[in-house]
Amino acid sequence: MTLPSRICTPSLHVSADEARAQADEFDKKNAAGDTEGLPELAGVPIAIKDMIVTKGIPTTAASKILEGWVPPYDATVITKLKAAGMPLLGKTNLDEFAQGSSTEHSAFGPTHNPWDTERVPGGSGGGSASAVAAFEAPLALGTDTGGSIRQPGSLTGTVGVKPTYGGVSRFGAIAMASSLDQIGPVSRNVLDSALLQEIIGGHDVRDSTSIPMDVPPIAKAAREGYKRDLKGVRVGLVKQLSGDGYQPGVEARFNEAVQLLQSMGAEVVEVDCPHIEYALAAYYIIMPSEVSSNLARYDGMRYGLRVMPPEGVPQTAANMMAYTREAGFGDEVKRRIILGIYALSAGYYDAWYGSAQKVRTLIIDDFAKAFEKADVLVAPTSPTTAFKLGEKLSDPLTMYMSDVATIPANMAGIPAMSIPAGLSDDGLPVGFQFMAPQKHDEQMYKPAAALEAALEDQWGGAIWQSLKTPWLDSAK
Amino acid sequence: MAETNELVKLTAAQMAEKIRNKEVSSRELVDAELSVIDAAEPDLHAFPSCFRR
Repeated sequence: MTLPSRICTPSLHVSADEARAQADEFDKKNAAGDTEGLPELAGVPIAIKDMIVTKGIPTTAASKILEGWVPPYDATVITKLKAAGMPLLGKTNLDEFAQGSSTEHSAFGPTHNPWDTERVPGGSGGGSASAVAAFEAPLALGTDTGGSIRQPGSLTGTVGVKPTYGGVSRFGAIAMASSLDQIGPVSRNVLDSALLQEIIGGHDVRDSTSIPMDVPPIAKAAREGYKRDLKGVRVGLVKQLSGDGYQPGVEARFNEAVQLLQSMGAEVVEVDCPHIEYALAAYYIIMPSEVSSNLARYDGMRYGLRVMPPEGVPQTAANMMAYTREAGFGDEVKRRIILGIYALSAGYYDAWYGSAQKVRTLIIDDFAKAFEKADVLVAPTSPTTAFKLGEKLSDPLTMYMSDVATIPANMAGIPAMSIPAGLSDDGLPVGFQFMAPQKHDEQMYKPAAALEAALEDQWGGAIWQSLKTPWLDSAK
Repeated sequence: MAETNELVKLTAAQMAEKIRNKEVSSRELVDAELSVIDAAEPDLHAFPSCFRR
C-alpha cells in the first residue's frame, strides 16, 4: 500500500495507558468473581468517536478550535461503558464537528478505507467504521445526524446503528444539529450492536430529549432473528429510495438481499413516501440552522483555541472572535454556519426554516403511513460504494447526495441501521438499510440478524473474510 | 502473542464469552487491539495521533 505521507499533528488520542488500567481493574474484579450485574460485553474494549466527551482525555471534534481542551466530565454513554468495565481504546477520527460524508474534513487529515486505502471510509464517523473494519477495535461509538454512523458502515462493510431519537442520551455528545443528532453503535455484526445499544441506551435526566422508557428488547430480537424465520414480518420497499443515481452493483446486492428476506418468510410490499424526495433539501436548511446556533459557543472566550488579532488591529473581543473562528474552523464548517445564518435571517426565516420544518412534518406522516403497511422499511444505505479520496471534495452537492437514503430517518427520528449486503462489482462493500417505527428498534434488529445469518451462510463466513489485512501480519 | 490475529477477529460477544470463561483477559484483548492499532495506523489514520510514536 502506498499512501501519502502521514500528517503528523498532535491530535486525537489513543488512550493506551488508560485502556490498560481500565482492563486491569476489570480483570481483578473478574478474577474475584465480582462481576455480578455487569452486562454481557463487560471487559470488551471499545473505540469512541471524538465527538463524544471523555473526562481527562482530549476531545477535539476533529477541529482546531477545540485545541488543548480536556473535558472535565464524561458523556453519559462513557459513564455507562466505564461502569460496564469496557476499556476505552481511544478517540476516532471524523469530519470536523461531524460535518461531512468522507472524513476528509478532519483538521487532522483524512482516514482511509481498509478495503482500499485510496478510498474514503465514508463520514462523518469514518474513524470508528475503519477501526472496527480493520480489527483495531471490536466495537465503537458513533454519532449520526444525517447518516454519519450508517453511511460509513455501508462503505466499510460494518454494522452501524442509529437508535430512535431520544433512545440514547446525548449528554456529552458535542452538539451539531440537536434535533437530529443521535449516538449509536458500530460493530462487525448485528448482535454486537444490540448488546452495545442495551448498555448505552435508556432514559437520562441530563438529556431533556431522552425518552423516559427502557431500552427495547433488541438483543433478544437479534437472537430471535438468527433463527432465520421471518414469517409474519412485513418488509416495505421504499419506492423513492432506488433507481436513478444508485450504482448498479448497489442495487443488485440490495435486490438479492430482499429476495433472501422473502425466502425466510417475510412478506415484501412496496411503500410510497412521496415527501422523502424533499428530505435532503429540507435537511440542508434545518441542519445548518442548528449548526449555526450550536457552534456560536466557540468564541475563544471560555475554552479551546484563542487567536488574538495581529498588531495594528484593534484588540477587541469581536476581533478576537473573528480571528479565532477564521483560524479554528475548516471550510465545510464555515460553509454550513453561513448557510444556517442565512436560513435563519430576519425576513427569510419563514421562507426557509419554516418551510423546511413543514416538509419534515410531511416526512414524519409519510413514515407513519408506511408503518401501517410494514413492520420494517428497507433501502440501500448509500447510493454508491466508497469513492476515492478527493473525488467529491470540490463538489459539496455530490458529496451531500451520498446521504440521500440515510437522512430521512434522522428527519423522522426513527431508528435505522446498516448491515453489509456483500461486495459490488468493484469489490467494495455495499450496505443494506433497515428502518423501524420510533421506540421499536427491535423491529429492525430481528430481520437484520436474519439477513446477516443468511448472507454469511451464502458467503461461507463474515464479509471481512474477503478483506486483505496485511497490517495484521506485522501486529504482534 | 501469536494469537493476536485470531483474538481481534472475534466478535465482541465471542470476546465476552472468552472473558467469562477466563480463557482471555480484558488486558490481553486491549494489548492485542493496541498492537493492531500500531500496525494499521500509518495506513488508516483512524486514530490520527502521534501520541504513541
